[in-house]
Amino acid sequence: MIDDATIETGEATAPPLVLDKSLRLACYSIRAVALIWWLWSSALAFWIWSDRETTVGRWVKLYDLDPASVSAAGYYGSTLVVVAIAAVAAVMVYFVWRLTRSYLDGRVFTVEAAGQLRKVALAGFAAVAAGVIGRPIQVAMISTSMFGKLPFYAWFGPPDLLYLVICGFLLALSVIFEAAAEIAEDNAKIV
Amino acid sequence: MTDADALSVSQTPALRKKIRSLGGAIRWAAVVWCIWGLGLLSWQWTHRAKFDAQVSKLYQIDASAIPDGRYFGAAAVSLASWAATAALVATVWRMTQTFIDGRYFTLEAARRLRLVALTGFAATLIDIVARPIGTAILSSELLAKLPFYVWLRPQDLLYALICGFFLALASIFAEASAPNAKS
Repeated sequence: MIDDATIETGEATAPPLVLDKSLRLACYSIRAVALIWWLWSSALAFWIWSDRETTVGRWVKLYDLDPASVSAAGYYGSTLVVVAIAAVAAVMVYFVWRLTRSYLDGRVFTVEAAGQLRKVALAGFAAVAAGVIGRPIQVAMISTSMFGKLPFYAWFGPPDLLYLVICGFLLALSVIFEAAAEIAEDNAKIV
Repeated sequence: MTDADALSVSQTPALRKKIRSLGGAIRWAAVVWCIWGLGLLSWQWTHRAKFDAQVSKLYQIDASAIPDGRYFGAAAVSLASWAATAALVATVWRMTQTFIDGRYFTLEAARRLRLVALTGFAATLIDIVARPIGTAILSSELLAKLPFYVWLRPQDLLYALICGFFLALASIFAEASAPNAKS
């Protein structure tokens, strides 16, 4: 799958690798899909929140919310929280782009690439935390009367735990890659 | 990476200790996620009155008129789609076992990581297909009234993206482990 590249760097580091066609295609696809995912999820969230009447109407139906109790400042403040959560997700996408750039450049088993994989995992953790912290803030801004009416899993649900599992898995992989890169670099220095 | 490098990685005590605790946390969190998700879904389906009230309020449909056979048929489809999720957790369990045992850059680890990715793809696909099937069993009126973003959600694309990423990493692991397999 990966061909050895005999690129002379002049430094005592592990030799860079050139990904084969299918892995290069996978990297480009990952970058494109990550960007599409962010654009799609952000656009959908903004589209839903831009229709104030329908969004508040849904809460009125589900939680017997008094629409008059929702102030414009509270609603748009809550929309700002959506923007903040999307911004944290954008940071994660940025780190995915940086990681795949390293792979495309042949820096696979390097401490730098392992560090970038760790940043993807940590940005993922931050995105989950932003969602979990952002939700009660949003509800508090809209109407505190909704606090007691929302189900417990609205605050921290199975999808949040799944994202934590995935980020933990990426973190474990980054630790393994980092150890491998350090050993490969040490051995390259000896050689 | 040479086979000597790969062997050294598996014999690093500090790394093995770190991965043992991370791997243990991941596998148990995955099990809790599966049980919690399935339990929550089952709990929701067993509260018919609440379901009827919500559907009636949101979509102006008399959900209480939905026959029990249809209701439990939709519940069965929804719960059956979790079978793939349970299979995914089993593959994660096996994958983490490989890492806990210190077998990082081996063909077995690469194969197991690939299996996690492929099972993840299958679980995502089954979930996407199960949603309209379950809703169609419930009520064709409800099927027509649900918003478009219920059928294909950004989360589905995110899951596919993560699976694709794991698949790519599995290929890298396979390549890194190839010299060891030959020796």
